[in-house]
Formats: sequence, structure tokens, C-alpha cells
Amino acid sequence: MNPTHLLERARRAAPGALRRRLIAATGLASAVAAVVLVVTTHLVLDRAGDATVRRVLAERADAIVATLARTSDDADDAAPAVGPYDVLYDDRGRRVAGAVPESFRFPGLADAFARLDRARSERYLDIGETYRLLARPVEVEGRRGVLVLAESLAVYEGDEDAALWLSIVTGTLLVALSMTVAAWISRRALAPVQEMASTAREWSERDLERRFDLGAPTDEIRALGQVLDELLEKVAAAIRAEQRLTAEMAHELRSPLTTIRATADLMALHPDLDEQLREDVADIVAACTTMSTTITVLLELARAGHTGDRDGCTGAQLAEDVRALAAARDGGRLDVDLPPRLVIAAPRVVVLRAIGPLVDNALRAGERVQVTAAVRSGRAVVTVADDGPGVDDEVADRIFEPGAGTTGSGLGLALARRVAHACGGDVDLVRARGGPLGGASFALDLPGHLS
Amino acid sequence: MDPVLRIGVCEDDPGIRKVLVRGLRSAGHDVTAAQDGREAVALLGGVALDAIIMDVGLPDADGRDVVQALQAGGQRAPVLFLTALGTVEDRLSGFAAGADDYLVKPFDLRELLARLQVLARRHDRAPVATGLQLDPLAHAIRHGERQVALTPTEYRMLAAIVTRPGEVVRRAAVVAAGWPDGAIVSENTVDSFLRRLRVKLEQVDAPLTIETVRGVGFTAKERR
Repeated sequence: MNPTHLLERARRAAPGALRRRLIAATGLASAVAAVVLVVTTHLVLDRAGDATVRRVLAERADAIVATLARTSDDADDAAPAVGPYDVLYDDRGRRVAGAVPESFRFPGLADAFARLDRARSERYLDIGETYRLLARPVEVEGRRGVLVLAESLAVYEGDEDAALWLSIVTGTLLVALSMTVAAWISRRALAPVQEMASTAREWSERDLERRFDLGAPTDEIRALGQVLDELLEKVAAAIRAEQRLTAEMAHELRSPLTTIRATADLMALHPDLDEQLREDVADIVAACTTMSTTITVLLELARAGHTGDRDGCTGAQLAEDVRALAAARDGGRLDVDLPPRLVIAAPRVVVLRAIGPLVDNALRAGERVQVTAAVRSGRAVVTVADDGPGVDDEVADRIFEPGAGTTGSGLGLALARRVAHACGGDVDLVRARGGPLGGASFALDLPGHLS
Repeated sequence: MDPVLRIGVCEDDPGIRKVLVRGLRSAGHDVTAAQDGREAVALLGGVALDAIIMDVGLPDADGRDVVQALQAGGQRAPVLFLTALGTVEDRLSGFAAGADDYLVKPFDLRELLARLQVLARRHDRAPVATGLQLDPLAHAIRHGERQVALTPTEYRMLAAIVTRPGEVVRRAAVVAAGWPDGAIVSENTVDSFLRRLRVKLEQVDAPLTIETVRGVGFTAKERR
């Protein structure tokens, strides 16, 4: 891809888009990490709380059972062993010792005790998240019974909630912190890129000597800067080589042509030259002029190709050039009707070189010449029509071959087509006669659009 | 009948040189021809001429630098440049280097002869020698036995000023002589070049110095 296009694309890119994506990605990653942290903390604390409640209940049950074993067989003596929230039932479910505390807030507590009073094996029962009950079958001096204990979960739940909130706050802070750090680091890391973009923005395609000069490649971006500088150096060297070649070509071709031309002029200055020789000399001079024009056009084509003149040629510029061309020829009436928003995607000088011979021929052929244009699916078609006698059929077939033109040296149309081809277009004879003005009409077809 | 002119020609291409000399002589003019920059400085420097035809692309030097050397040596004849290029940039840099006219090769011999007549008619400047020699081949300045090398930019800036002794040369003209057309050159850059040039002029004990005319440009003054 053309470096100019790359620069253009970089100019259009939303500034800071990469930084925003980087910060967003960091924020997202740290948010996921924070959520995982919160959930894990919650689960671990939940498990730990659960185990603690079971252990407390089991220890309390063990203590009561031990106390009961030491006391006498009198059931009344068992009473001091049981505390609040502890109840001892006999094997028929009758309460032997302890009492279910009255609680208005948890009316289900008494029911839960009643559901466990004949438990055959040790089991736990949760009442929502408020109490956990343990039923343990016991045997005191040969009599079976069930010991039921309750433990409030409020303390444990409170601890878990506090831990949950703490982990949420920590997680949020973590996300904010990591995004701030990402913003700071990316700003610092991408500063050279910003610098490169703003530097490159000031360059034109003719600034062959400009470099980024970010300094020693201490990081990836500075290394990239150095690589780009090396690339720019290579591109500049290639362009310089091309310019040198173009200049040398121009010099090498023009010097002998100058000698031929000047010698012919010198011969023509002889007062006693015979008519036939004078005519021959005039032919040599005409051929030199044509060749000189060709060299100029090819040079302009080469220059326009490598100077990156991609701005294109507007309808107004083309109209101006065509009128200037007609004014210089001083003949015929010219109507130029081009859409002002027309943009032809080729350098202005090159478009003029392609259309010049068409206008020139038309002005030679007729009294009236009309230049119009239409844009169809990415192509601009400029039509040049005249009111002349048209093109003979035998000439029409080979009109674009060098030397086959209707008038003049005959190189014009061949050159026009060559120039158009170089810009991805073409020149064609649309109507040999019976065109819009009655005479011939030619079309120059080049890439283009309406702005 | 057009008056007989004394014309200096510097052209490296033997074919063009030959036909130029023949053409000019057949028109009745006196011609002194040189084939490169070195010969041009030697042959065209000290003689009275009505016009000079100078090829821009010489094998040993830039024709523009040779013209500046001739003018610094006191040659006041108007100069017509011949070039194989012919872009606006080329023409502008030629005019900045002291060209009076320009023709792109291949040219019409009759047009060349006509232009020379016009140039010679307008030519009324008396020769003024500064005593300072400019060497277009080495881009150096010389005075007496002393010589000091300049960069091409320094050479062209200096030449733009000293080839017009007594005149105030505008800052923009000095920049146009030293840098390609369209180059953006800061005031500080020009001033630092000028400082270096003054030092180099002193190094060769030059008979002139460059003074800054505030807000306008520079002028070459005789050193007291």
C-alpha cells in the first residue's frame, strides 16, 4: 500500500481509540477477577461458618451428654445440665428437661423442636438463616431420649455479610485502580505514537528528508519508529533514484533532439535553400516538436506518478484548462459544461494531457466544440464532440495508431490514449459522425466520482 | 540589422555547442565557447560580454553556481539558461541564481537569437569586481592566497548577496537562492548561516563583509 494512503488512514483513525480499548479491557479483566474474588470469599466464609455452627452444636451436645452421664438417675437432676435453647425429650417425645424459648420473631422455632423430638439418628435442621438445630439420640441410664439444641446463626451471618461487603468494596477499588494504572501506562507508552502521528500529519508527500527520530530503540514503539524511519529512507532513496533517472532521461533525450532541432533551424536560416529542402527541414522541425512534447508528457506522467498527486482534478479545474487550451488555439466556439462536483481521480496535468489532443482535434475539425461529462459507477466519462465532417471509416479503424491522426502530426490521439491507460482509463471514438453536434465525438474515460 | 553581440556560451554537449556557435556566428555575433564550468570561469570571467548562454546541467558543476561565480568575479552580462528540465521549480531556482531568461531544450534557434538581442539591449550594468573569487566546482571562496570551503547552500546564499554589491538583497531572495522552491526556512536558520558566512569571509580576509538591513535583507559592504 502506498505510504500516503497509510498516513491518510492513520489521520482518519479516532484518536485514543486504542487507549480506550486497552483501558476497557483492563477494567473488564479486573472486574471479572473481582467478581471471582467476591464469590469465592463468600463461598469459603459460608463453608467455614457452617462448619463452625456444627462444631459448636456438637460440642454443646457432648458437654450435656457428659453432664447427664455423671448425674443420678433422677430425671429432675438432668435439669441443670441443659441451658436455654436445649431440650431433652424422652423416647415418647415428652419434654424431660429444658424449655423451648418463647420467641415472637421466630414462631417456627417451637415447631422445629417438636419435629425433632423423636429423632432416631443425629440430624441437623435449619430454620431459614436464623437458627440451626441439632437432634442427638441419647441413652441415660438405660432410658432412651433425644437431646435437641438450637444455635442462633445471626452472629455468623453478620460476619459473612461484613466480609461480603468488604470484598465488594475491595473489588471495586481494585477495578478502579487497575483502570487508572492502565490509563497512565498506556498514555506514557503511546505518547511516542501520538508524537509520530502529529509529526507525520505535518509532512507532505514531497518531504523526502523527514524522519520520526524517536531516538534509541529502548522500547517496541521506538523500535517501530526506527523501522519506519528506515522504510522512509528506502522510499526516499527510491523516489530520488526515479527523479534522477527521469532527469537523466530528459537530458539524454533532449540533448540530441536539441542538436537536431537547432541544426534544422540553422539550415532554414539559409536564404538560398531550395523549396523542397526547406519543406524537408520543416518536417524535421515538426517531428522534433512532437518528440519534445512526448518527452514532456511522459516526464509529467512519471513525476505525477511518484509525487503522490492523488488529489485528483475537479470539474472546475478541467473546464479552466480546456478553455485555456482553446484560447491558445484561437479558433472555433467552445462550450464547456462539466458538473462542478466532478472529481477525476488522476493528476490535473495528466488529465489535461489526455484530453488536450481530443479538444485540439475537435477545434481543428469543426466550428463548434462541446465538452460534457457524466459520472457512472465510479467512472467519469468526458465527451468531446464537434460539428465537423466526422472521421472517415478507413481512418476510424486506426485513428489511435501513431501517425494515423486526421490532422497534424498524428501522435496526439495515440499519446492521449497512452496517458489515459497509465491512469487506469481509456480514450475512444464514440461516433465517427452524427455525434451530439453532428460531427465526431470522442470519450475520455477515467476513474472519477461526484464530490 | 541587429547589432553584433559578444556572446559567451557554456554547454557540455558537443553537438549543441557546435550548432549554437555556428548559429550565433552565422547571425554575425562574436562567440566565446566553454565546455564545462572550469573552462567557463576561465574564459568568460574576465572578458566584456553582452550575454551569456549557460547550460544548467554541466558535468563538473551546476550552471547556476558557475553563473554566480562569474557574477561575483565582476561579470555583469545577462544570462540565459538552457535546461533539459523546465519545471517551475527549475525555472525559479535558475532565476534565484541570477538568470535573466530561460529556454527549455529543444529550443527554436530563432527564438534564442531574438531573446539574446532583447537581453543585450537591456544590459546596462557596469562591471563591478568585488575582489572575492567564488569557485563553483569546489563551492569555495578565495581571496589572495586564502581559501575556505563552503557548503552548497552557503555558497548560493553568499553568491546571491555578493554578486550585487551595494544593493540590499531581500531575505526571501537569499532563501530562494540557497534552498529549493517551497522550502520553509526559519529566520534563525538564515541568521545562523549568515553568521557562519561572516566568519568564513573573515577567514579569507575578504575585502567585503555582509551587513544585515533590519526588516529587509542583506547587503555586501566594503570592509573598512
